[in-house]
Amino acid sequence: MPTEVQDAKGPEGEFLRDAGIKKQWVTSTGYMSCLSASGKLLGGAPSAKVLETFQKLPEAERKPGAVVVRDLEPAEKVIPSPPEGGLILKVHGRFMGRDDKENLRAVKGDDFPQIRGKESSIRSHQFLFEPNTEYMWLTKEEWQSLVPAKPVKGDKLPVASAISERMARFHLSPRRALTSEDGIVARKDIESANLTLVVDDVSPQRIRLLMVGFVHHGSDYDNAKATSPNGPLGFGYETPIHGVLEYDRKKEAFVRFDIVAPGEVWGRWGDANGKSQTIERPGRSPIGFAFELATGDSPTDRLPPAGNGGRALRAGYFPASK
Amino acid sequence: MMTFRWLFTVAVLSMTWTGPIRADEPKPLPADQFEKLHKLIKPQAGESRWMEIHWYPNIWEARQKAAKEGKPLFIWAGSGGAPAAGC
Repeated sequence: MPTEVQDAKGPEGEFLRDAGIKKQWVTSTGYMSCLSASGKLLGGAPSAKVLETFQKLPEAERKPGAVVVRDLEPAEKVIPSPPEGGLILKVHGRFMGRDDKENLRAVKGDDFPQIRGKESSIRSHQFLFEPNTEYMWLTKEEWQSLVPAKPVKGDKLPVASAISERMARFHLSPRRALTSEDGIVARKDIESANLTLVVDDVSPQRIRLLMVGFVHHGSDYDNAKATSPNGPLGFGYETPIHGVLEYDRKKEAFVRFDIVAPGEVWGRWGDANGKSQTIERPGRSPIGFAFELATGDSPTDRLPPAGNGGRALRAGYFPASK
Repeated sequence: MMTFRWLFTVAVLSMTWTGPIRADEPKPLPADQFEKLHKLIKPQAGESRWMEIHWYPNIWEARQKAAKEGKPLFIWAGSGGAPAAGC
């Protein structure tokens, strides 16, 4: 949940403030808090002590069904919901390394010069060596626009810029996706964001589409300036895009929406003060993104895009929401 | 523009690879290379364990569920990057 909910007008913000949360979440860094449904702050991360505190509450505050929580009116909701009939994609991003044959592989602590050989630093950065996952939304009209009306093998269809720019600005954003620093890529920083679909196979049951494209935002690569830490080159990123999409004509739905973006970054991974982050590497370094359909089996699949749906929508996630 | 290093990397990934992909010269990855890459980037066994929890996207929905089941709420709040991104 975005920390800014604590400042929001309406029931959700009031619930947190009444529980004293505003004094608990001081900066933007991740926080863990436990509350009762009645609005009592029980502690930080889940623990035996938190459960004990919960059990000591009067039954009127903890028995199943004792606390009645009304439904919110749509206008009272702080966190946006996925678009009706829309499509949700999981977006996994991770730092990557290369083996001695230059093949891509998962990253290791020693891939980062600033922590190389420092076991305690590597341990404390362990969470950066795993992928991070968030969600991309397409409206019903947008995903339907990807289905060719009269598909013929070999046909090429450009993908609407609303979709390719969204992918580039909000999802193929290594700093936001992997370190939470900086954020949504400004439209003016997008150098290229093009996607094309190629009809690969057509049957009465399915249409198979291949996606190809290219995204570049930020600086142009300059090898002489791509030094670290605190080098002079601004952050830049580029990636080819490859995808395999399958549309079930009977279900009238996409049943596969796999995309990979094996890209590279360079330049300054600035923190809040513009200084290099620990995970910055000199030269060009590999970053991978993989997209896939969310199944909707878990409420987690409804987490809003970019970790903060309200901010994303305000920044023009859907062109009409600018 | 793509550098030599990038070209070399991709060439190793796919012997059939002929050059950098740009929107004006689309060349899909061979299926086996695509599958391998997609699998490599996605969470591996034992990774991203936070996703084993069913997270509710807003406090109110979680509060309603907690009230109904008589359980405490666990809230994880961050600055607005991807859910598990550090800051």
